[in-house]
Amino acid sequence: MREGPSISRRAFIKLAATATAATAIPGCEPAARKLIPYVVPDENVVPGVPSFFATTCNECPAGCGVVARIREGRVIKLEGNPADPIGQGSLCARGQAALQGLYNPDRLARPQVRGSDGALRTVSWDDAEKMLGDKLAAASKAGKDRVAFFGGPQGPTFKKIAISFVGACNSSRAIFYEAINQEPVRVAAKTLFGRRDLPTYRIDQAEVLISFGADFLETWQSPVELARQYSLFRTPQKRGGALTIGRASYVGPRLSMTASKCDEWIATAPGAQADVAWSVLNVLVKNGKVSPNSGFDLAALGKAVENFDPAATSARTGVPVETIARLGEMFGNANGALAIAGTDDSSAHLAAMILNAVTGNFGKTIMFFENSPGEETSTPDEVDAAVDAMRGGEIDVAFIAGGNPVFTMPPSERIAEALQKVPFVVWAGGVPDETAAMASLLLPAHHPLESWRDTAPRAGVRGLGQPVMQPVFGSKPVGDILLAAAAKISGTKLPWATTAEAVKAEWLALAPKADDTNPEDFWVKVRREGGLFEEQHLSALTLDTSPFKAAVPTAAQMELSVYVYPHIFLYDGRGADKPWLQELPEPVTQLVWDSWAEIHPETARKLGVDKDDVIEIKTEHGAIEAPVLLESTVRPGVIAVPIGQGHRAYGRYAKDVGANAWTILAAGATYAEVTARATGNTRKLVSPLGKSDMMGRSIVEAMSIEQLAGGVVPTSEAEEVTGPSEMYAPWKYAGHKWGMTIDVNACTGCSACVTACYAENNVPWVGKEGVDNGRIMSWIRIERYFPNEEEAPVAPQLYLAPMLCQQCDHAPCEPVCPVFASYHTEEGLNGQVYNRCVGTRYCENNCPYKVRRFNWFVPEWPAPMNLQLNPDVTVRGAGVMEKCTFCIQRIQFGELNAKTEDRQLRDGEIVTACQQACPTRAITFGDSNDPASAMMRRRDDNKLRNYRALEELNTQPAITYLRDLYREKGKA
Amino acid sequence: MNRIILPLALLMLLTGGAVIALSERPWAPRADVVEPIPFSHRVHAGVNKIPCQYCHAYASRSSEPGIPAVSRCVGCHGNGIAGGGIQPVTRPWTDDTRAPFEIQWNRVYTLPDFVRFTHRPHIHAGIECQSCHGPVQTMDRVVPVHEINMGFCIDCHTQKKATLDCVGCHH
Amino acid sequence: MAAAPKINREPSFRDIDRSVLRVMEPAGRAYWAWVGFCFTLVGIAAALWMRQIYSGLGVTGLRQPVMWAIYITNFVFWVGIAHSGTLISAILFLFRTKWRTAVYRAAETMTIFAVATAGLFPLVHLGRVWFFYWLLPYPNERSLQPDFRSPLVWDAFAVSTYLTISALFWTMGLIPDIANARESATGWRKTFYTVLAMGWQGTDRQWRHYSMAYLLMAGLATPLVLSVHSVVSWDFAMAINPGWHSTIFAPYFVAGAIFSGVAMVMTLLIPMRKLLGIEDLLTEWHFDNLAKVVLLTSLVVSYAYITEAFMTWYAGDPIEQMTFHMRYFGPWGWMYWVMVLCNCVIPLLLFSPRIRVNLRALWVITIFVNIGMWFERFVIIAGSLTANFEPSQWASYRPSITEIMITVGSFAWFLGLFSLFCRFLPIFSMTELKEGIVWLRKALKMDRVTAA
Repeated sequence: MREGPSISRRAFIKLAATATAATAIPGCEPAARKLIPYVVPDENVVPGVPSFFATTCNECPAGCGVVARIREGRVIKLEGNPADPIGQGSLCARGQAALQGLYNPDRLARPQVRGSDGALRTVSWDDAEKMLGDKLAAASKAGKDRVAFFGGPQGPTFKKIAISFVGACNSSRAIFYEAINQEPVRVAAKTLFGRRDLPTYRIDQAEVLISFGADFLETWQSPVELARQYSLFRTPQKRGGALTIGRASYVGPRLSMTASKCDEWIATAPGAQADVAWSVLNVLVKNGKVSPNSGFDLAALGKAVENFDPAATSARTGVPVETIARLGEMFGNANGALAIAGTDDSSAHLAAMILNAVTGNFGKTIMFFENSPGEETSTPDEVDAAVDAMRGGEIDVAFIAGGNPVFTMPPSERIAEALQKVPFVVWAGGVPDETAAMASLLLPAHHPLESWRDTAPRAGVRGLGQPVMQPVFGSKPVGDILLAAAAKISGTKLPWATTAEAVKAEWLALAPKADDTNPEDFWVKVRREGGLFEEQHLSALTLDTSPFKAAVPTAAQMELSVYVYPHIFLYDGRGADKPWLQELPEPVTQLVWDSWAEIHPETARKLGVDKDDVIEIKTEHGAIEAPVLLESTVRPGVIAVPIGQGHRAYGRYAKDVGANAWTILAAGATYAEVTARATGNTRKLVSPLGKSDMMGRSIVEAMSIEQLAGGVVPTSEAEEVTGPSEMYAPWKYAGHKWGMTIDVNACTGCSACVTACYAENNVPWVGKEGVDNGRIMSWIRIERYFPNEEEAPVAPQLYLAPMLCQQCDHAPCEPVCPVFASYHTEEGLNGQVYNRCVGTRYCENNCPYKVRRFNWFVPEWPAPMNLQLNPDVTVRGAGVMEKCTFCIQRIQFGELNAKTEDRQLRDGEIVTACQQACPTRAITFGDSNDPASAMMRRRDDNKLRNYRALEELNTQPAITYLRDLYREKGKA
Repeated sequence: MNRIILPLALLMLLTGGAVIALSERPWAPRADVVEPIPFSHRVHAGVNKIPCQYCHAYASRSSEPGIPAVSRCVGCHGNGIAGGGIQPVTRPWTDDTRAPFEIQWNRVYTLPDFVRFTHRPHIHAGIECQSCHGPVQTMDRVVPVHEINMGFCIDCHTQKKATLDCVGCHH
Repeated sequence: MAAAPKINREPSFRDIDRSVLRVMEPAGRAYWAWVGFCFTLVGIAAALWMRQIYSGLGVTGLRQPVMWAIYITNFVFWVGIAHSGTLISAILFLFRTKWRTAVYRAAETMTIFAVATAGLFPLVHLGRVWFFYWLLPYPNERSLQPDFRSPLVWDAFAVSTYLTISALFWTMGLIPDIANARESATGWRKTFYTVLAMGWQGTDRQWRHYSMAYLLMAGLATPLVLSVHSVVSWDFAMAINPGWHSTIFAPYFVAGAIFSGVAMVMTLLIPMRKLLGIEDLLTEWHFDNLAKVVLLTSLVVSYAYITEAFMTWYAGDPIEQMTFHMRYFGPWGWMYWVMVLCNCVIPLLLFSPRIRVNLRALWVITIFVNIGMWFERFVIIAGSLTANFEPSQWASYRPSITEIMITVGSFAWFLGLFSLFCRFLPIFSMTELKEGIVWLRKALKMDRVTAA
């Protein structure tokens, strides 16, 4: 077998158990000729049948639950866990891509030691652990607090393990570091309510939403959950008698994907959001919209916000007075409103919280719960203290697991310098990153999907993470390493020997105390459901109005500023080693495999720079270089740069791509004053996108909520499209006729569907050059169009909608194929028989939607990424056309189940990968022959919003879109 | 004229035929496989009338019929139900801590990767194993009786009125 | 080769034989150098094709959404070139056109080689060329057949039929001349011609059968002239793409094909006439007539361009209009205007009788015509694909070195074969020249008149 020695024996046998490992070229490589039986069969594994394990996602602090699909012992797909209240069965692009972290070919396979010459030498685990043990022993003898643990948060149990580890080393320095943390929110909560836990939001309970720079559909707090809430919030429903959708306003420097889905984007300089927020509060106070029982002293509050008279704020921020007034009006009158902030200064968060408080929305749209879990991350002060200690040479051994501080920490921390001062730095992780480059001992750690862990994202939600496959490399769980080391030095007995034990012990402690429940049953239950999900209880809030004795100060102005935001897919940089995420176009800019400086054309003219010019962006903390992207999606005077690229290590896919925006920021900041100059070089920004102007073609359509309420059909539909007299008889479908309904209004552009499709259908990635050469392979893409001049007044801010094969009844691709490789299946799909395709490419020429993809080269999955390939889907070779067939393998599987169980196929039994992933349930798949199917009902319930892409071509697509909804201008 | 042309044509025909005859598809059933253990289907399925799915237990549940786990062999041979002295040998197999050891059976039947054949519906439809695999119960060493190519599948599907939709097997 | 003995009196049968057969005497160094050069280029192209087969079509500049570009352009171009042959030999034969006798063999030969060249491109362009035979109907155990609705299948039939028929027609025409050559040839050439002559004795009976068969073949070949390129044009007309989906394509393409074909005949004959010293068999009179054909077809093609533009404007489909806007004024607009210059403007010079007999001018003009016709196909094929229904998928295209070298190779392949032919087989039909000797004599007279 090709799977190398880096796989444990049992895994090897499992892998070998079925011989059809997907091979690169259909028919060109012989299938495996060996059959290797189990010694003792594993009940969980029926070769050829997937098994599912519930676990948790570890790609961001949101802590969604996931279900891993396993085939022959290897996890091939991650999907949302329906039992989990946060994800509720959806999973974002980053979560989907966790697989590529697991199977990343650049993961450390064996422990390595850095010699005096700086070269790395591979050593055995025994030697590595012995060396670690000795160093720790020495350090703990040398004195107190000379050992530090420094890592990313890995859940409550792991936290306990880490703490007991440093404890055993006679130290108390256990630092849990998350680059993107919620400190400002905690500070605001502390100021207002004297508590530091995070509130939970219910956008769907609000009528009005104001986001002060919080990209809640992308990276802010819990994107999947909030996106789901937001889609409910935006679903047309009767409010106060009239059919309407929630009103959303976004205040911030950039038209982010989140902003584009709101009714209006109020452009402000970064940092000015707080100003606007206070000003809105000012309006509320003036209009006396403060609810009497909110506990606020009106006078005091009025005093506090006196600096924020709309006129004054308008003068400072450039936001029109009437806009501010309107926001206040809107917010005050709404029956249920929510203000959230995503800025780095707690001032805006405080203002937002007060806005919610004075309008009596606490407990309704925003709530604090009883006994919410303890903080995962250490406070900035603790982190600073630890780093200072390192720099001060007070630390002999630093054990670093996760967080990649060298990459993510602001320059002010001088972390690199600090680590140099530490005699012995141990790094444990997957793909060696910038931090590993400074370590003397590198230990390969289990990927979260290989190890036991748990999460406590918020009150009432405990996620249990169980290993879903045998380790791919020769790694160990970080917890085990720590416990082993700790046990060695300290004579004192530790409560547990391994992480597995620890997690189980911790969870058995959670078992209901009733004596009739057997703890083992409980243990089985939580592992099956992927956690423990209980009722939450609102906690009483005690308001502290003392901060409002004095007036709130106003922020400083800036000539030219840089706004740095986490890339929706790369997050704080941890996504950069995953080709799926690198090749996923950022929804608004549609750029891939690079970082960029988004500048308003006006500002660019001032700076004298043009598209693709590489400019140097210099702050007091540092400078980076990035090519210019000219768009009016950013406020004049602001340069927007995404975080996540600019790795100097971290594997082949991340290394030397773009620039690291962390390096120009102050600690905890998201913006800074800058000077920018052209460097004279140019670098082409690569995007799969051609034109951004739809030219009035009916690809993504929208209508105003007013039209919908008034029952007006948009003009584009006004003239009835009468099908021409057909030459051929229409298709007859005896059994099923598969179709899809896609709600464009619900689609946020988050691209979870795209990644899900890559994972499910063995779609290869092609790299930056490949995308530039027009060879991107994605079967489903997010169409992004800017409304042009005449559309703009009657259009959403951005057209975003998924485009995939429309499975036409009159498919232009079918009759032109000379060999029937492209043909019409019995169930109405445009089938594509890969092994029959000769590659004339006529079908793609003739496809009006351009959703077919041609294999220009033999696709490659560097081992062990090939282990992720879905064995139910043929891996296409060079010279073959490929396309979406509504996950035909899933349809086959479902139909076979029904058939062999002698029953009818149930509606919703077959779920396509894109539909499964979608956080907002924008995609519904089902049988058009069954009018009762959810898919058909969704069409019929939204008759007025139905449209079909490029309908005038009479291709008769099986996909019906529901028009996007916007609010007519001036009514926002 | 003919003196030149006829031999030429004949030669070309021969070479062409030879090329086609000698070129074997990598996934064609193999008559020449020798198994590591002289296992006899005749004795098990024929003489002792053990049903196929007793050992190939997954056939009715999965795409793969499954190769019996060693424990399945030991189930009979280890417990005196059947003769044969394989008890001593089984111990190391069942012990994970020992050096890796597999029985590497050689495939007789394989299909190319662009064909998604699943046993499950065929078993469910009551197709005899023998109709594809031949009378294995009479074979000491399994040899293919039919060449499992697309024609073979199509014929049967046509007779049995089963689906002829390409994506049924190719996706 | 010996200097051509100038014919002072009116040419006799012997003169014709002598001057034609003289061409077939062993050739000199320069000739072999030229042939060698051609086939070296072919070799390079072949190597690049092998590489493309090995590593995939990614080595070309093809991309989303331009799935067809130079390869298909070349295919259409060469099929077009192939047209004039059958036109001249078959149709003009049926109409008993006098001046055809001197040029038809060359034209027909050109046809054969052009089709042979064109036929390569669908293969070069295939993603998995090793399965090309799936486009042909043949009995197989999978009971699979090609999809007869697909224009590509029609292509396969049309082109192969055309190749077969014109090859037969060509070989038939050769027989008496080869027999003629057999008589004077020596050494291996003698055996070579003996075999090819298929035992032709020139008896009355043979002549009677021969001329009847030739007439029938001509009748058979005639419809092909129209069918082949109509079918090729349907590759595009049958698709729904803006810029392709049009009903005028068939006549438009056929006219274009004859246009470029005849132009290519002249491009080849003019230098050949000099190099082989056969001025007195191939006179300005012939070229004058050929030029007229070029002029006529040029006007037809120009008319087609205008109709196309008019239809687009008149139909008022915004998508179609946008595509044409891009064709005329888009980034590739210059190609369109080059094409108009070469195909519509320059040929107008042929209205002047003096230019029609000025061989240098003719040569230049016909080369322009060929350039123009190549661009026409490129603009229609690749150009239309860049401006498709889906603006988010618009993109430009840049050919890779592989595509360019294979294109160059195709010209080398064509010229190389043609050069070989001129030296080893009678490039003029002595038979028919003799039949039409009366006219030849007239032509020569006229020639002297214009010369004086």
